[in-house]
Amino acid sequence: MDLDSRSLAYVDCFAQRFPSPGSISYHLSSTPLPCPLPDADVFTIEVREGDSGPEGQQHDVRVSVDGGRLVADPPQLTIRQEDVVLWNAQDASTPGFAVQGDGEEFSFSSAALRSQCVYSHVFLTAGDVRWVDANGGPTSGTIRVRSIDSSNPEECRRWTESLERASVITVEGETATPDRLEVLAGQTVFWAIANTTGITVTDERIMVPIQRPPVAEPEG
Amino acid sequence: MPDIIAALDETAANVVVPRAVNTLPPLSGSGSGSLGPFTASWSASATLSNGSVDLIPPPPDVIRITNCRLDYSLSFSFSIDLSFLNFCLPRICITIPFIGRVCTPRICITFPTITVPVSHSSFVVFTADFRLNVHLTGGNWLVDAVVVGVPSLQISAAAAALLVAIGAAISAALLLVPGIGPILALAAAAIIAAIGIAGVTGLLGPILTPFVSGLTFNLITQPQVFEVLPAAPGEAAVNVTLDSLAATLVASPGEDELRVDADIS
Repeated sequence: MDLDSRSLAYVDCFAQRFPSPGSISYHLSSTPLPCPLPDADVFTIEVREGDSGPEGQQHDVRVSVDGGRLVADPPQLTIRQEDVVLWNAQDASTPGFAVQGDGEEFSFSSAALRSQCVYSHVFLTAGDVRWVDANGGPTSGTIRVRSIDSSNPEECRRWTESLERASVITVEGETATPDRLEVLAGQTVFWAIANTTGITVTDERIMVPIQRPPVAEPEG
Repeated sequence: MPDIIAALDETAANVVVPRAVNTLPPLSGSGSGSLGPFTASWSASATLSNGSVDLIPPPPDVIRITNCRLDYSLSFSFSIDLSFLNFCLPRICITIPFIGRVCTPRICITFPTITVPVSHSSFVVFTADFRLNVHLTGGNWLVDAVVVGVPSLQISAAAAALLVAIGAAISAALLLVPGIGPILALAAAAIIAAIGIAGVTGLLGPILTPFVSGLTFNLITQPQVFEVLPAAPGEAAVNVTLDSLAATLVASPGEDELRVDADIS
């Protein structure tokens, strides 16, 4: 249950707003690779013209494992322009996954958060977490997760109430606001992505430097 | 009138008996038992030492050892189904200007069954009464001391110490459970309360008591047939046979004694 938008666990959600009509195909992957594996199941979202209202409508997609494959329920969605689709693991047994989709004029990815999308994470362990962009960008921040003294009834009450409140970090360009945040263990933090080049929200501690092999030059 | 009388006063008994106790080999055992609402599988080893000896003639005709010390090492593990801690986070909605209203689903945190290993070493001090048992085995006369009844072990202090050790082990095991963070202290407190001193005593008593019930140690081993050296040069050595041996505790004007009477031929 690490903080990593590239590997959505059951305490994570990824939501994407679809601003324009068109057909979107997407796949679920247990790796954050931008290129889908050849046998990946393809799921679809049909975005129709005309919005559902001023705030749009939310459509939930549950992700689970069936026959060793990541599956989306429902596998096909028909939504209205400006609607939001939210992906979430069905339960704790679902392995971490990434959602990546493409349309004619629109693409999205939980492994490269670009625009009008949300990543949420429930922090369950106390401690300081510095989050960074695993795609190499400078966007980052720090979240202090505090524990509670569960033997103190007043603190318990405050904790229970805090579970219903969320904290929001807005990312615009390379700037995250606020860049420092304090929450109680068990609280949910949302990253609202306005417009970026495609960042991740990743716990710095799980960033492992990878030696990349040389990229083949195109022939001709 | 017996042919041979040998006697041991309390001063000597306080040398001989503790030495006999100290030479007992380490005791060991394993099994499973209840630890409050949980079942623990355990293995234990123990050694006996020390003690002050009081020879008490009839009645009650016992060798009383006070402050006998039972040092023990205990390893056990028990499983805790943490599902009683399961909780669900409420659905949370936020409104973001450039996206609209987004709501998370209700997310339920479920906890697994964990195994908690515990290792603990300590000791209990107890008092036990022993009776003499004389028997001829394998050509040797043996005078053994056999514990009377089941000595009462005062284990409340040991149980309290073990409960502290269990608490530390539970906390360490819970730290490894994903998602337990916010309710770690609550979970540990709930589990320790469920076990309680009574639970620890219920485990510790049946483990330690067998080490002292049926306890027997040997005080005297004497071959039934033994050679007596000649009293004067030129005389031949002779073999003496112990036809009978009796060991009793007798009151004497000075100190009580452990007396051994033997008839020979």
